[in-house]
Amino acid sequence: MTEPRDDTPAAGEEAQPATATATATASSTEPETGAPSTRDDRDHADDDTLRALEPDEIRARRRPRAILFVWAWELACAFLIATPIHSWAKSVWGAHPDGDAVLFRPGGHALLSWLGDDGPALGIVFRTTLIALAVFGVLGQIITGALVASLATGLGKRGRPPSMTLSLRAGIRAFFPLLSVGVLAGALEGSILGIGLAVSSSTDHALQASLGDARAFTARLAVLALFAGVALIVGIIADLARVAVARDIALAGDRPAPMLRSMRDGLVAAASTTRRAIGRATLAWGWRTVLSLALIWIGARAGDIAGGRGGGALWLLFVVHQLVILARAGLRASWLANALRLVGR
Amino acid sequence: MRLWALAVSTVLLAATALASDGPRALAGPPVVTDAAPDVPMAEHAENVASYTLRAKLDPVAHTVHGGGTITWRNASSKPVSELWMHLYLNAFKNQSSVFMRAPIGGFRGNRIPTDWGSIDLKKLVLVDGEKRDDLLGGVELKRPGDEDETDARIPLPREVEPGEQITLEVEWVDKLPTIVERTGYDGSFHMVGQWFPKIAKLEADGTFAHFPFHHLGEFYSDFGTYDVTIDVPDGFIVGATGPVVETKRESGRLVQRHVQSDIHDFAWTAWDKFQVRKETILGVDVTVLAPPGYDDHVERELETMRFALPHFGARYGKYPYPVLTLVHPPASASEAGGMEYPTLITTGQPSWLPRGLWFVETVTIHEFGHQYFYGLAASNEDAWPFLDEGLNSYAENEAMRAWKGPGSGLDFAGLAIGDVEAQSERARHFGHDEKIAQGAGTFATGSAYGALVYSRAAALLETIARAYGKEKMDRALGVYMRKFRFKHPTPKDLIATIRDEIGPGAAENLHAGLLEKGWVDYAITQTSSHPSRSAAGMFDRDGKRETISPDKTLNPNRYDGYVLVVRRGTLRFPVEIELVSTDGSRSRVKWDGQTESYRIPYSGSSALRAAVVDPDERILLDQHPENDFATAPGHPTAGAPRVLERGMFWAATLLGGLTP
Ligand SMILES: [Zn+2]
Repeated sequence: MTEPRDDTPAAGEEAQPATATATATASSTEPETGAPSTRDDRDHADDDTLRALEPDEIRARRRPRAILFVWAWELACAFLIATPIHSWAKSVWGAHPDGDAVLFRPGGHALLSWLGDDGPALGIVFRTTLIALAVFGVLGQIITGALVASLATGLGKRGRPPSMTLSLRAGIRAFFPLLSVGVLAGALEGSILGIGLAVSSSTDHALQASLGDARAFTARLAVLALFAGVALIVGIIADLARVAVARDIALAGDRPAPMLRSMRDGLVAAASTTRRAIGRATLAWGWRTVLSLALIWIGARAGDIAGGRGGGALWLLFVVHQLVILARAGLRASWLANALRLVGR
Repeated sequence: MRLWALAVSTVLLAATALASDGPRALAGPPVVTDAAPDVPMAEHAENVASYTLRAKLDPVAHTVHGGGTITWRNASSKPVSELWMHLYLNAFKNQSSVFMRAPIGGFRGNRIPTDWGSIDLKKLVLVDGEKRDDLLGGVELKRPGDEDETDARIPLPREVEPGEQITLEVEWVDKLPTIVERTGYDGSFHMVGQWFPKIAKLEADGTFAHFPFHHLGEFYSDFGTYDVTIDVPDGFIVGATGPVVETKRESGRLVQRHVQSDIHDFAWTAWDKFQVRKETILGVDVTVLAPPGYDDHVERELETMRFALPHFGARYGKYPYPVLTLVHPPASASEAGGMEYPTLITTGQPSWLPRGLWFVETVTIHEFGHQYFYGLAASNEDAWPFLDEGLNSYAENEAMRAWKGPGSGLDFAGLAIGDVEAQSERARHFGHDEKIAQGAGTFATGSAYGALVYSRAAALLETIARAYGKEKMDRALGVYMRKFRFKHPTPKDLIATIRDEIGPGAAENLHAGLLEKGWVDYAITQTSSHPSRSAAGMFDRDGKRETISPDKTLNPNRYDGYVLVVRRGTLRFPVEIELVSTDGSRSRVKWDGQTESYRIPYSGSSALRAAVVDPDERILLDQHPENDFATAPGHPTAGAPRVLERGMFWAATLLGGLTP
């Protein structure tokens, strides 16, 4: 995938924040001029030095192993989250000679009978799945933190990827700050959507008499879309804050700033980026999101086409689905890299 | 990426992708063959109760001033000394009416009107040649101890002999209620049903099939000719039963006269905001009245009629009327939707409902189907509601499947759910605690009424069709609907037709399913498979004694075993049992289902791996589809790898939505 080039602020344009100088290793980093002639010199520098990467060095494609790691984490979580529904399906339909293929028959006779069952299974499976999803969603903050650390920092002059252990340690340190940013942003987005629902509903009712209920409903959707747009922008700003927080924590090494300060710094960085480049951020997030949704749609269609087929077709579907998940992890890494470049140093 | 943004966008994406018809939807006109071309069909109904009425709407006071004449003939074999007249708007008069006091939820019409409704008789005169008898004073509106005023008794000054016709002059005032169930007003929208004094159906034995307006009950009337002149303020658009024969505009009023024979009720609607679309389909002038902004729904309803008119015509006989009006009420009056009157039906569903969720089509086909089962057969809906709603639900399922394929209920986001599968799941889920064939007033709850009268009756008929052959069922219902057109058939007529056309087994199952709470559950309770062995022991053969030791009895490459199938419950459908061997080969065994269990021996070159009873899912009423199969002990099960794979994909997708 190609990255927009023009959204990278030129290196050295901004003053380095204080935290960025407190690098993980004690050894000092040689000053960089950013001139191409110095690139060769980097090869001979001390390769164990962890440093903040320059904006033009922050690229998702330079961290394939980190992206693979995110995918592997999601695969493991997905297996655990899918276990309750899988066990339920297996215990009810597994003894059929066609197995759970009957659940995929057009018409849905077995599927409806299964889901319509009066027993407690559906409720238990639903709750367990939801809880598993929530738990892994929360734990996922560590993975996000590690991914940002891996994207934002590099070893030596060439900015080689830090080890997985190093990134994960940074992710664990970033867990609470990232979770807090997430909760704050989620609450704000939820409130905006809540207000949006209320405003759009009263718009609908106010317009029903004059426009008729069909057009009033369209107006309701338009108003709701407006609020949803605002909530999305809040989400993008939250992402900017996240990457700033996670990067700074990664760079602070074993002497991280207090949580509130690192959150405050992250929010300040996000605010300044918003003033400077919210348009570019929205664009960068937007096209990746559209692509990501298209991938999900492809995955869904593939499942639809595969239907109840088993054997080789099922394995092929598995591969397609996992490629979708992997590509989406790549797109997320690409967005985070872009956000890091926008936030700058 | 935010989870909710993802969810919303995915739904929108899926909706757009499916907007141009789901992939499984079958396009093009249906192949229609006449189900019973040899069976003659009455061209006209017997004229028993005819109404020449005028109705003037005041859309601000929500009143209708009505008047006119009723001609009524004693079509029974006995003299009649009283009339029974239904005044059904009084169901909404107060909370003491039978309708309002029924402690029943779970169906429709559970709101209390914010504006009560009523019908007040102002004039009732029996015209007997030169003689005129005022009957108004003798009208007995209620019974002692009962406030209900929907079922009035009118003593006559003299007996009316069999075959004799009388004329009544009537005048009355309706106060329409806010819409609680089917009829009433919402703003300037008026749906006017059950609005005139109507004589109860006289049975052949001289008794009146009269009954108060029950919460769950529908209607039953004699056929006749309706000549109704509707008078509304100019600017209102009127939809009504029968074709318009005369339109006048005078002093700010629109006056429209509708005349239709061979019908047994009349309803109309008036609204100043209706959008009108007309199309002639198979010689029938179809009019769709809908609120502004519903153009797509209007198109979908017309598409439905382009399919349904030829389809139902071939199945159940030609639609005999020149017009059909479809009324889509505004969202705030949705309770007026989903109802049938002669040549006028009301549809519904929210404006945003995308194609693929075929609920607009389903409600349109369902209400149109009533033109046959309610309109033309005209069974007693109070005593046998299933004869209308159950048969019509079966017809709806059949038509939707013929039109839209296996995703006939919904075909959306990769999910193909059949209308009939959803119906039968509802039937199984509710069970069989009550009879299907009982009066509307005796069901314990509204949910029981809905699940039994609609779903279980439809699933029973579908099961019979699948077990004995769909062509036979097509033919049987084709015969029934032709033979009993305009004849008010009873359950006996239906069961007799099924016996004649499908056979005694089908008729017995139908009888037990309708009248005896019949149910069925097929199950495979045992499977066994082992290497084949011949007998060991001492054998006297050809004058010599031979001893065969057990370790010498193995028949190489042969396996024996058996499958035990049981049938629980009282219905006895023939079924197939599929035997699956470890080499992948499959064979089928038929069982008539008459006994309570059936032991099927197995012998083959590979071991028996598993067995399935009813592998083609014909017995939709089977109470537990999840015990219809078994894998032999010692063999690995097929498991649920598809659910695991799908579950993992969607879990990872959702998880990805929770992180930036
Ligand atoms: Zn119905």
